[in-house]
Amino acid sequence: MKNSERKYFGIADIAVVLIVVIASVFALFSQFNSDDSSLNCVVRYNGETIYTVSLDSVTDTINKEIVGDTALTVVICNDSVSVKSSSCPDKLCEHTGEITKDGQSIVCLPAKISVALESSDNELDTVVG
Amino acid sequence: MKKTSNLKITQTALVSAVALVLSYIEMSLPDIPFMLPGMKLGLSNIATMFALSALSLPSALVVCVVKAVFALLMRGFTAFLMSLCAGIFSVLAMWLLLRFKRVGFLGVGVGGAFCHNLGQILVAFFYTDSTVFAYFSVLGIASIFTGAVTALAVYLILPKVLRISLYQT
Repeated sequence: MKNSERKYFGIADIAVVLIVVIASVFALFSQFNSDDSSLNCVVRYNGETIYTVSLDSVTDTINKEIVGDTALTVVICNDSVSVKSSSCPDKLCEHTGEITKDGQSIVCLPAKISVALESSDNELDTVVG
Repeated sequence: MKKTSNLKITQTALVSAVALVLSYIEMSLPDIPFMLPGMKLGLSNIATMFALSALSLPSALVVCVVKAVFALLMRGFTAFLMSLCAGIFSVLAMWLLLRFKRVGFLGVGVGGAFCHNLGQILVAFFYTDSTVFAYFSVLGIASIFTGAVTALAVYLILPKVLRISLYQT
């Protein structure tokens, strides 16, 4: 079959789109096993945990300086976490904004830093596939 | 050993050049406000998809490598790894899908865009941890729309470009 004769929509496209939707939904649910337990803010560098704090223990806002491959400032409040400033070039971590729920995360690739909210008593929350 | 003809080299080089221009245009575009940061249309996938449908699998892989080297020069080593891994993933996926008669360009584009994201997420996972998979679900759904758009572009462009004598093999 010549590709110039190929149609834009084929019947098998439905299957392709369905597989994509199912895989995406699966990835979503593997992350949000939410329960009402208290949240921990976990900061990892290169996959290794370098800083952990329970959000319940936060009364005043913490401005925590995290140094990975580049430096960034994480703002930890009682109910949310965000990256205030980062010295990385693309600033995706800053633009992600506040995270508030279990399973959400902010990733700064240039610094190799990830900031995640995880429920304190559920170890399975970060295991995927 | 089969000799690579000058024609094939020229065709691949032209598509690679188009891929670089599309990458650059995409880099210059601002983030779309209501979309997540890092979410992109994948304009340069138009070039790789075109290389696959009009030329061959090796040509498309060469385009991917050229794109990755461009990312290395413009945005550094992490971008290089992500671009290369994502490019190879999406080209192989699209190549597989193109072998089926009942798959239209829509399916090829969506499958390619999805595997492009998968490749990028795998590199991000290698650098950080599994929390990046939360991002993947959103990127996966988005790839249905971005894949549909880039596939439409290839579908419309392909018959016209194949009329140019350079691409009549």
